[in-house]
Order: sequence, then structure tokens, then C-alpha cells
Amino acid sequence: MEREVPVSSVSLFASFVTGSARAVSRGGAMYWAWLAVLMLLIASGLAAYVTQITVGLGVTAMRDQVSWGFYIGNFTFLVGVAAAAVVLVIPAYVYDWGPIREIVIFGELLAVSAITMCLLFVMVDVGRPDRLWHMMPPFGHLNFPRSILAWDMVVLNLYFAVNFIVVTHILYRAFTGRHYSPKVVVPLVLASIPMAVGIHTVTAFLYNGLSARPYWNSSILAPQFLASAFCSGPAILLFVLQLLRRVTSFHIRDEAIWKIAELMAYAMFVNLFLHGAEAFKEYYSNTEHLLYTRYWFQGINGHHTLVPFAWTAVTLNTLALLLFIVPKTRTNWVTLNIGCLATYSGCYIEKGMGLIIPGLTPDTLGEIYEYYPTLTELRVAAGVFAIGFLVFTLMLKVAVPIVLGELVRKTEQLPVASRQLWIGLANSIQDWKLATGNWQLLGRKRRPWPGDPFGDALGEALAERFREGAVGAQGQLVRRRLRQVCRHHFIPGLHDMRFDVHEAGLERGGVGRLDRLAADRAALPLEKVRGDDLGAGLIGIALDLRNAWLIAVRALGPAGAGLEANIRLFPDRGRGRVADVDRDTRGFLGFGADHYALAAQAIRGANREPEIDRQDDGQQ
Amino acid sequence: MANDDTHTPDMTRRQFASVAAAAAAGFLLTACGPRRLHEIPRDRLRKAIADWERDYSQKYGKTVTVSDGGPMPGVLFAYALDLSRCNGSRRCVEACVAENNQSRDPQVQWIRVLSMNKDKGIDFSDADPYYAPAQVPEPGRFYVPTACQHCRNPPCTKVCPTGATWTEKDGIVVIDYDWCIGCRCCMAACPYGARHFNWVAPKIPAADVNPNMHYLGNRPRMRGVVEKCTWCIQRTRAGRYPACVEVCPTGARKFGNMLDPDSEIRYVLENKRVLLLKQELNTMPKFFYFYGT
Repeated sequence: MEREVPVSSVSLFASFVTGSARAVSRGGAMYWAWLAVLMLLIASGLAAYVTQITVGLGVTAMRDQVSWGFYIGNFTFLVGVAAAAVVLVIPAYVYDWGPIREIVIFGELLAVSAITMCLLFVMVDVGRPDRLWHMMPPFGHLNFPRSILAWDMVVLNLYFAVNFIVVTHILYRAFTGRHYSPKVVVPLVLASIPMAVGIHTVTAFLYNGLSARPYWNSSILAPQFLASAFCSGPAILLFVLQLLRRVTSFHIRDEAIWKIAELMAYAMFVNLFLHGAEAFKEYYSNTEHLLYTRYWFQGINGHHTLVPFAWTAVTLNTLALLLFIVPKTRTNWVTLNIGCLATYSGCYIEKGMGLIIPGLTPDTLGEIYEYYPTLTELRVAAGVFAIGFLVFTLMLKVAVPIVLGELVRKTEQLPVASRQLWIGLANSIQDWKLATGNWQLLGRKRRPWPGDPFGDALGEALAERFREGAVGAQGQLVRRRLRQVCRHHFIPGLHDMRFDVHEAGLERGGVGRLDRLAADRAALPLEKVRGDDLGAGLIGIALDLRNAWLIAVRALGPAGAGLEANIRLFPDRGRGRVADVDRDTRGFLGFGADHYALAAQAIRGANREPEIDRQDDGQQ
Repeated sequence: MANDDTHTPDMTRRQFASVAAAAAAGFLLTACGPRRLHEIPRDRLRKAIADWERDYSQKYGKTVTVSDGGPMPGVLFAYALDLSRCNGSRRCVEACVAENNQSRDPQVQWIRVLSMNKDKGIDFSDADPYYAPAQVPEPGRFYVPTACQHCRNPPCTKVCPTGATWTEKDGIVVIDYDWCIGCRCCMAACPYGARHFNWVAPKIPAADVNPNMHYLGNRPRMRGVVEKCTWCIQRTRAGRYPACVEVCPTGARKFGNMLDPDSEIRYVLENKRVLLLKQELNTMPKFFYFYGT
């Protein structure tokens, strides 16, 4: 018996894993085509990397003169993308601005994949990847705090861990129908804000601290990195969000997207301003340090490989600024997407080509070696990007249905309900009381179903809907009753993300029907109500049909998940009284089964009239 | 609860066992696994050297000795180069390549001689490292040989994430080729282009291998690591001059113990006007340039 708890949480996690696996193994033709493209790129990158490993970094265009190149440029760019999550987290959590909150999780997923790519780019860049453990204490030796690269590895891994933990925690909890624990999430999310600034600052310091390279050795570098990060990261995210809106039922508000675009405009302004300040200083003072800036913008002595890149970046960034600063173009989808593309490409060129290479050209002894990535480098880099996009795609594939409440533990098909179903539900009221009694017998001090995700999420969502909705006089009664029910059974005040999901569910689920049904509640045309009908659930709750809500809510998906999870998760809550609670859980599961058996029986042939509990105080 | 009570110690014991196993594995790896040469115990260094000697001798078909000579007390090496004497013959480069087992294909050269315009003085942006006239010195040109400046404030050792490069007590900045991960931070940090990376596996004909090696110096490098001038640590710690000093046909190169008042290097420092490359970077090189005549 004592093994039940680990086993059941293991099996829960296993079903999380298998559920996730199921989610990623299902998709349309576009999804598989996209995966196939990514896999091809990964295969090509892997082949190129094998060459690089066997021959050496000589297959790249890097040489002693330009000892860092495309890989490190990409690394730098992606650190900026990873920091993007913070752009979304700050307004969402600090300013409590609703619409962005639902997006935060995608920002964090993006951060996780971007850091994965960052670490991979470092890995493909080092000469001896087999020795990377040399910088991992206790076996290795990390030159901390002197080496900035050591700092960078520490902060990047920490940032990865924080985002990974937050995302996994939220998704796992959502999957099992529970709220995430604010004790875990809030401190980590708050910590991730300075950390996002930190990873990019430290990465800037990696170059900034090198007095040998005047192009980098400028105190403007770190702020400029942050400014460009605050452009490029959200640019990618805006694409992803629009895509999500289109291909999933995930609800993302226009204002959220426009708000991000507005933030990007400010960031882009600061970015261009800092670039301008740097260019002024270099050109006006015209010291020997001007060489590097000249190599980027003008070329030196006939060496001008990078010049087209430089002006493309400037043009794109300026274009993006203009498109995002004007509200009209910011809220127009065509110009918004052009702006995103311009921002992404502009910042990518600026970091990928414009930061590292001019910093190293001419080299410290004045030699100009014109670096341009080889095909091998491009293939490896494309492979790393493909891995990142693959990770991101798969995580989205798992996260979206969980957040939408589509991917949840399911044990049995919901029977098609009819008025007979309601009878079955009403009849099972004894089990419900029993269950509650059991719970109290276990010595819980709290009310039954404490923190029930169904309860606080749906209850609050309903309350919100009623506040907004044009509901008639009957609706007022329903609302009052609903509040009573909520107060009695449930804890209001839920987390917004879950709240929004439920709200989205409500919109899909037919609120109009609710109002209609509410209006002629006395008649209760139950035969018109199907079990998967949201209105049924709402009415059931409103009238306190007790078990009626169980089945109706189960139809809702997320809330059904909550119910299901509540049944499953008793072992977790009953820690310390493992065996008892586990036994109780089985009782609960039995309860569920009986309950459906009754319903099914009722559907098959019982001709009894519905014995619906009509002692509702709203009915007078 | 009773079940819990009997169960809990089990878990703890298991946890303890795994922690202990991890600790033991960690200890073994730390104690017996590869180790930075910076902190390697003497006995393990001797064993490593015996292994290297055996392997290298086998590989190159000649008796290779790997010295473990440490810094001598009271010695701080310094280097001086007379810019007015250097005629750009690049004999030093050849000697250095031969002495220090630098890759012949692709070519790795620790010394880089820059040909500069006398009108402009020392101006790196106008320097030509690939000068190839029929005869040196060319009219109107002068030559600035560069190599590792063995800074007293070296930017390269500071940035190394694994501590694979450091300054020895006698002032020589060395690299542990077996510990370097090849991130090339040091190359970005070095203001003198002194550090070179093995972009592919270095190639040296066995016949050309110098069998007198030092564990921190000219023993063969592998693909993917950084290398640089060690002031011929295998020679200088045995009381000899670096190969470049010995070979210089004009006697432009001076080397010695900065702490010895009677040394040649002290004479140069006390009697000549010396200059440092990129002095404004505060790297404090122990490599001094001067105009002797």
C-alpha cells in the first residue's frame, strides 16, 4: 500500500508523457511537412557537423584573424531572443495587464528553445566539444568569476532551468487539472525578469570586456544588446501568436499583439538611437577605432563584403520602427507582419554578421581577412535552428492543447446525454454526499473540493460572464444562485490564465444558450440539452442540481479535466495519509463509474420522469 | 502511518546510497581523471610525462624527452627587441617553427613579422605581414616582429572559462593543451594576435619533430586547441636562450632574467628607451621594443 503514492504520481507523469507524445504525433499535412523540413535541415546540419568534428573547424571560414564568426553571431542573436520572454513577463506580471498573460507561456517556451539553440551554437563553435565538461565543477574547473564566458554559461543554464521549470510546472499542472502553484511560479517568474536582462548583459560583457577589440569595447554595447533583444524576440513571437490563432482555437486578443508591437517600436527606437550615438562617436572623433565601423558601413581598401548587410540592416530596422510607431500600420496585419519580418531580419543581420565580424576585422595586427561563412557553417547553423524550431514546435504542440484544456486525462467517453442522463446524475447524489463525507472523515479541515479547478475557474468565469452579459430578470436570479453556489462550494479568485482559458471555452460553448435556458428555467426543456452542452452545465449549477454539474462540466474539457484530476489527485493532497486516501481515490473512481453506469442505464430504457431537485430558492 | 514509518528510512538509505555512490564516483573522477596541469600533483605529472614520452617516441620514431622543468626561483623572464636592428629576414619564424613543433601544414607561426612604413611609424592598420621582396630590408620599410608579449596583466588568461591558460611564476604565460576546450575567447582577448588555433589537425613530418619537449611548451598540439609562444620554455628553463634569440642574424633579440641586475635585459631596460605595443591597454607586456641605435 505504501507504494501507491509514488506509483500513482509516476503513472500520472507517465500519462503526461504519453499524452504529450500523442499530441505531437497528431497533426495535419502542414504539420508533418514542417517537421519533415526541420528533420531534413537537422540531418544536413548533423552531416556537416560530423565533417566539422572529424576535420576540424578548418571547414569553417574562421581563421586566426577572425576567430569567431557565424556561430557566435547566431549565439548572440539568440540570447536576445531568449531574453524576449521578459518583454512579455514584465507587463503581464508587473502591470497586471491581462491580455498578455495568456501569451507569457509561449514567451517562455520560446526562451527555452532559444537557449537550447544558444547552447548548441556554443557547442558547435568550440574546438573540443568532448571537453566541455572541463568547465563543469567539480570534475572540471570553471574560471568563475574572472571569465565572462564562465558567467555566461552559469546565467544561460540558470535561465534555461528557470524557464523550463516554470513551463513544465504550469503545463503539468494544467494537464492534471490543477492550478500551478504560485509558490513555485511567482518567485521563478519574478526571478526570470532580472535574469533575462542578465543573460543579455553578460553576453554583451563577453565582448564588451575585451580591450583588444575597440569595436566591442564600448559601454553602449550592453544597453544596445538589450534594445535589439527587445525587438527581435517579440518579432518572432508575434508570428507565432498569429499562427497559433489561425491553426488552433487558442484565443489571443488583438490588443495583446498590438501592445507587443508598440513595445517593439520603443525598443527599436532605443536600438537605433544607440547605434546612431555609437556611429556619431566613431565618425566624429575619427580615431583609429573608426576602422571597424568603417569596415561594416563602408568597407576598407576594397574589402566590403559586409557593406550590403550593414545597410540592409539599417534600412530594415528603420522601416520596422516606422511601421510600429504609427498606430495605423501597427494595427494593420499586413504592415504589422512586414514590420515583424523587417525587425527580425534587421536584428539578425545586425547581430549575426554586424557584431562579431567587424569586431574582429581588421584583426589586432591590422590584417583584413574577409570572413564569409562557408556552406558547412551555414548548414550546421541551419541544423541548430531547425533543432530549436523543432523543440519549439513540439512544445507548442503539447502546450496549446493543454492550455486549451483539450489534452487531458480521459478514461471513458462521455455518454450522449438526454433528459434520462439527468436522472442518472440526480440519482447519484448519494455517492456525492458519501464522497464528501469521506473527505471530511479523513480529517481534512478544508471544505470539500478545496481549490477545485472546476470550481474556481468555471465559477469565476461564470460570474464574469454574468457581470458582462445582458441577462434578464430570470438571469438575475440565476446569477444570485450561482454566486451562492460558488461561495458555498468553490473558491473564487483564480489564476487569470486558467480563467481566460475557461472564458474562451465559454465563448465557444454557447453562452447564448445559457441565457435562453436561464430565461425559461422554470420550464427547463431538458430534452433540448445535450450532455456536451455548456448551457446544461451552467443551468445545472445555477439550479444546484448537484450532480448535474458534474457531467456537464466534464463536457467542458478543461473543467472536466479539473474534475477528473480532482478524482485522480487525491493521493497528492492526502500526503501523510497515503493509504487511506488512495483507498478513497478508488472509491471516487468507482463513484465515477457507477455514476455513468446509472446514466447509461437511464438512457437505455428507464421511462421514469426526471427527478430533478427543484428546491432552488431562485424559483418562486 | 505505520507503513510510512517503516518506509521512510528505506528511502533515506537508498538516497544515502546514491549520494554516496555519486560522491565516490566524483572523488574518483576528480582524483584520477584528467586534471589541469596547473594544479596536477607532482607524482601524477611524472606519470603523465612518462606516458607522453612513450607515446611521442612511438609516434615519431625517435627518443622524445618531455621536461617537467618548473620555474626557477628568483627568475622573471623578459624579452627585448631592437627595432633598429631587425631586418625582416624572418629567420626567427623559421627557427621558432622548427623548435616548437608548429604545424607545417597548415602553417602555424607563433612569430609574425610586420613590415611597416617608416613614414608612418608603428601603425598596425598599415602593416603588411605577407611581405615577400627579393631582398630584405626593403627601402623605406622597417620590421616589427610580434609574438606573445607575456603580459603581466594578460587579458587572455582572464577570459579563459576553464582556466586552461595561466602565468607561470617565471612570467611565462602557458596553455594546457589537454585542458583547452577551444572556445577561442583568449584569441578574441589578445591584443597582439599571439594566439593561434589548430583549425585542423596539425601536421609535422616525423623527421622534423624536435624531440626535446616541455610539458607546457612544444609538445605536439591536437586539433581544436589554442597554442602560442612559450619563450621556448623547454630551453629557457634549462638555461638556454629561446630559439629566435639564438638564430637572429642581427642580434636584435635579447632575453633574460629581469630580476638579475647583471643580465642583458636589465641593461636594455636601464639604458635604452623602451616602448610597449598597445601600452594604452594596460596589459603590461614583458616584451619590450627599443631602438638600439
